[in-house]
Amino acid sequence: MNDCPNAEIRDRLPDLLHDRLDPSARAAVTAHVATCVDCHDELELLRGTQGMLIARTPRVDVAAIVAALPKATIPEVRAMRPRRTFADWRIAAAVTLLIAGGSSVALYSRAGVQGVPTIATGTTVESIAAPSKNSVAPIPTTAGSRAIPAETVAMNAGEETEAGPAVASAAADMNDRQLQALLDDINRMEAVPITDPDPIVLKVTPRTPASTSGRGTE
Amino acid sequence: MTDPARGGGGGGDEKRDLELIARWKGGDERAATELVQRHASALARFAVSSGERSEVDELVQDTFVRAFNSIDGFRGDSSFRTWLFTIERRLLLDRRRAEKRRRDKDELQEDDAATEYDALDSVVADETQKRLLNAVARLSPTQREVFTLRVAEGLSYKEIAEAVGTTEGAARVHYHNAMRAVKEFLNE
Repeated sequence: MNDCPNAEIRDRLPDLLHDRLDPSARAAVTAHVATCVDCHDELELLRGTQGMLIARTPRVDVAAIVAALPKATIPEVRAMRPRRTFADWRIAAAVTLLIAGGSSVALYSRAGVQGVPTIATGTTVESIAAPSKNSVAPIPTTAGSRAIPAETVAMNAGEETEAGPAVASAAADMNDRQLQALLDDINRMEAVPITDPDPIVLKVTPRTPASTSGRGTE
Repeated sequence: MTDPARGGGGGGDEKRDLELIARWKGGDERAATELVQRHASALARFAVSSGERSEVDELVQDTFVRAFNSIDGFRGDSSFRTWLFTIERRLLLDRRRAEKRRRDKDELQEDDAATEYDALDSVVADETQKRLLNAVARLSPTQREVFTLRVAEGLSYKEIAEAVGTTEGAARVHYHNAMRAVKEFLNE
């Protein structure tokens, strides 16, 4: 048994045996084998060897192998929870800022419409606090020159404003004595609207005999 | 023994393997049975060609158990059968190393491997097949592995290289050297 000089064809003989060639290659190899004694003999040798190897394959107990296999672990289906992403938090922060900013603008603009007196920024409480009878004691500032927003002035004049946040901010800086003085001033304010309704006075005038008799005689 | 996937595991066979693996992962135990039926014989042949004779059943079983335990590691880059051959060969080498340590002997010599291979001679009754068996038995272990995978299983050189841990070119050289040796033996 000799080797065919066409090594490429010989190399493909096992593929022809196992039908692993594409149609064109199979046609070429088959045509060559049909005319080449060496390749024909080698193909027969391969076929015989394959048969021999299969014939002497020991039996394998498939059932025993399958019984020894691990059980498939079916992946547990979990309810998909929406996962917070960084983008979500950024959107939430942006919405919060918009709401807070919008509320502030609306608050300030509304206060402006109602005629809250405005004072040039930088005016300190000390300069605003006129030495009037109803004024609040001068509010000490932490740095001595810290400017209080104009809204805080409203409480000095006893005017009815909605500058609550500014008042609260200024009140937070007061000590107990100053706070008490402020409350006393507020109580003495005359401009504070009276929220209690006026008492209703009923006057009952007794009937005179003359009036009743005259009406009756007519 | 029937060998449903014998014939080299073409594209259709590989696709079928992937389908069965997916079914088994989904809890279908019958898919595992079919996978074992398709590849057990090839693994047994490869075990015999590698010199294993006494514990072929156990080796094949261990191969499947290990394969199914690490089935998520199978990416489909090679065929499922080639992957099984790779696992089986590693197991075989581990066993031999353990046996070597236990016996405190030198590494298995090629002559010893040939002797073990010849021990199954009685299985083949036909005279021609006996001569072929003797010819294959004279091959070196690596030549025999490559020759068996190429002739009996129809693997490409690339697949053989993956299974036995060598290069495609080396697998081709081993095959042609084996074929030449078999012819020379038969011509004697």
